[in-house]
Amino acid sequence: MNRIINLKKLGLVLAASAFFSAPAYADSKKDIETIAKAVGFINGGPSGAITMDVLFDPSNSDSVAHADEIITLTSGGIGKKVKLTGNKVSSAGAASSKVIFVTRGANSIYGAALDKAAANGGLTVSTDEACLGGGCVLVVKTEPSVDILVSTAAAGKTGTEFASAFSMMITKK
Amino acid sequence: MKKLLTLTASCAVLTLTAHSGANAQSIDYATMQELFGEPVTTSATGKPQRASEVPVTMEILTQEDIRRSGAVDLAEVLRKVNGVNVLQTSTQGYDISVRGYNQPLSQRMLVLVNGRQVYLDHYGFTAWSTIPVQLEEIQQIEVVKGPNTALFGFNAVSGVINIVTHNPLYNDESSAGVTVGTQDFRKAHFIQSMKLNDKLGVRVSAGIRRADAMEGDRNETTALFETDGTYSIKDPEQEQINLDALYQLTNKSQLRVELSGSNAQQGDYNILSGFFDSSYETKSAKATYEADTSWGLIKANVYKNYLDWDNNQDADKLDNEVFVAQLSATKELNPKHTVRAGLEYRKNEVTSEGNSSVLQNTGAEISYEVYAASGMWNWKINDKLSWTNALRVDHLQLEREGQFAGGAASGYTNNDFDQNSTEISYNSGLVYQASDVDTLRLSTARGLEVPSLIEFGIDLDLRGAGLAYFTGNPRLEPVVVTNYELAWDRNLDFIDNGLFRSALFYQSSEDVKTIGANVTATGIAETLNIGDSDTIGLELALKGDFQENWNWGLGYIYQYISDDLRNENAQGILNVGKEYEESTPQHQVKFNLGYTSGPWEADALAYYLSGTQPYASTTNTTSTTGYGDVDSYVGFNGRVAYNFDDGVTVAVHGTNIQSADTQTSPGPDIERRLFVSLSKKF
Repeated sequence: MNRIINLKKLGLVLAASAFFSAPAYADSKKDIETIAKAVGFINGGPSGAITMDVLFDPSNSDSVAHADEIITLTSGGIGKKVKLTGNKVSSAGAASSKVIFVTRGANSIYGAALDKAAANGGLTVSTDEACLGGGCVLVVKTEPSVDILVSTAAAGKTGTEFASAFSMMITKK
Repeated sequence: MKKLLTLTASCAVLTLTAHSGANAQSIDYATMQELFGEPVTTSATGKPQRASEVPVTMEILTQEDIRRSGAVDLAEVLRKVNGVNVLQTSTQGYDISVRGYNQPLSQRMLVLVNGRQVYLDHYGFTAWSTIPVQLEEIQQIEVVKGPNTALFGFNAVSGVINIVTHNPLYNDESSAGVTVGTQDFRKAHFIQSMKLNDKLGVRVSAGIRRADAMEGDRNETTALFETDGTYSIKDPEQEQINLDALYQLTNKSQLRVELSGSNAQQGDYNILSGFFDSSYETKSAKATYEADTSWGLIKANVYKNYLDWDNNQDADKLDNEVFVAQLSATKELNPKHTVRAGLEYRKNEVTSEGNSSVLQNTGAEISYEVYAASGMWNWKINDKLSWTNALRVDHLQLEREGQFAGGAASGYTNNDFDQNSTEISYNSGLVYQASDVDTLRLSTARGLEVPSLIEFGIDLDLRGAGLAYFTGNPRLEPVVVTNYELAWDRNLDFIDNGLFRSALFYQSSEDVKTIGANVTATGIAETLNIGDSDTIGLELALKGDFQENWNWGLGYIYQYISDDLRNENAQGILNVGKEYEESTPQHQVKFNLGYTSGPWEADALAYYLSGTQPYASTTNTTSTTGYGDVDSYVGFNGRVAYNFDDGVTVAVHGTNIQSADTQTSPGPDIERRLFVSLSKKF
């Protein structure tokens, strides 16, 4: 009987640990597909197979976990017209892609990410709405419905211009 | 065809030289639908919008809806849409309207293919069998409920149906198929998309169809007020051909050229003259230039439609030519304000060919030109509230030349037809996102149903046959349709993909017009405005999915119409062909259920319409008319299909499955139809 109780306790502990260690949000393939499709509507934007730098803050565990999650999701490439494959980078200076994905919790490097994206002639993207206020040009949400958010200030800084028809259907902040 | 090619070449040269170096993209409907998880449209305001954000009540049928409907007719596909009235009067003769007011040869709907009008402008109705599009090449069908004249112009009063085909540059959709069925039904289609290089995409399509006429079509024995039972209608036929080419001129500008033609032969039902043979031959050429410029999205559209109509077994023939040139610019001024400005020129002319029984006297021509200017302003007041306003001014100049069939008896000279009129239409709509799941829409609109050229100038002298001399009326006023609507949509968490939609509407139609009113002592029957009609209604709909494999939808509309029409003679007998109060069902219910499992698809649509008493006439005469009873009825459409891995689909499908024949209109009974289809995508 004691053994059964101990197993039950172990189960509860494992369940609780899984619950508390899970990220607050889990990105899906649909999130990355949405980013890839949205990038396809940038005037003069990248197309084809693109290596997307996934920028994380090594000092922030949430950011590290998010980066790993994106790398796993994009391992085979996601998208058609624009096909994104993740490449983990731990500092903005190391990012060379035209598409820089900014992870959750990387608040301290928002400014550097945006500067680097502008220097690369590209843009910053994320699934974390907090990034819209500082370092991201484009943020997508796919639940409960798809919402594409664009920071006009960040877009201005990177010179990102979307096709007019697409631009009329997204939310600008 | 030579005319068509010349026109197309001219359009191409004009557009190529007009905007060299401009920037733009046409709407990539398929990609945007995948991206946003819902269809997108420009049919509500002219501005590209997600279906959930438009300021009008609108339904969009996707290619999947079309395929799974099991329909072989475009009109039958639309039967699924809540609030849409589908009236079938023969094997391939259909009339469609939104929210009642449907009658044979209904004039209240604007029907478009990629923005080109396919309603027939000589009388303002749509012969659905003439639309030169295969069901398999349609990207989506957009149904706008209520007037939208401020965007589209005349006839968009009950609503607008815009059929959007696949984009030849963005979509690679090719297929071929055959369908056989009861009534010796035979149909074949072929669609080939070719992306010739990164900049040029071409799609060609063709379809042919043959069938025996339904029993009712052949001898009208089942029609209300049948008298002789001998009036023979030819077997229905259809042929369509279409070419659609899109060329990327620069990275931001495109030129699209569409050429099409169709032949159709069928029985048509007309309230005034009963059941008759019709044959239609249509041709069209259209060029569209789109550019993304610093002035916004620029769109230039030029097209010409040709129609040869023979409506009485070679007795009555008309030629109708319509030329339309449109220019618009849609600009997002800033994240809160988007505006659109448009100009339009239209010329519509009808000439006759034929003998003594023509609707226009031999050699006569009646035409009008329209000059229109329009504007739209969309204001995103905050994250939850947006307001859209649209205004359009149309100036119409009417003229006529040639002799009158009855000479001075017509009461008019050609000078009387030198008429000018200016009309205003508007749309205004507030959209409020009350919560993450609730959307409210409050809207009003004023739409115009302009008199057709036949109504302006019919010239049919039947006094020798003991009937009347039917004359037009150059001073005829357009029907003004005003709509007020409150709509509420709610996403339902407790149902997978659950959505509840509702709309409460009030609509008035002022100056309803009709041919053959007010027969004088000398036998003159003039076209007149005969009064007003009002309606109030409630639409409710619920849809969702369950257990991954199933989807379902339930729709209901209640509608009450009150006519105030001078449509009776001194004896109180209805004597003109306009009546809505008794001919519109008060209750309509629709229920659809779909199931998918691996390669299998199964779908069913059940519909119920309450009884009506439509106005009807005898076979091919105007001598006996009156109300007839069409009892309430239930119908079933269905389809079961198996999709093989290599793109081959085999389907068994049918319409009106529940009954061998059903009386659904004043026309002949509609028969059960069953089909087997084999198609392949490649």
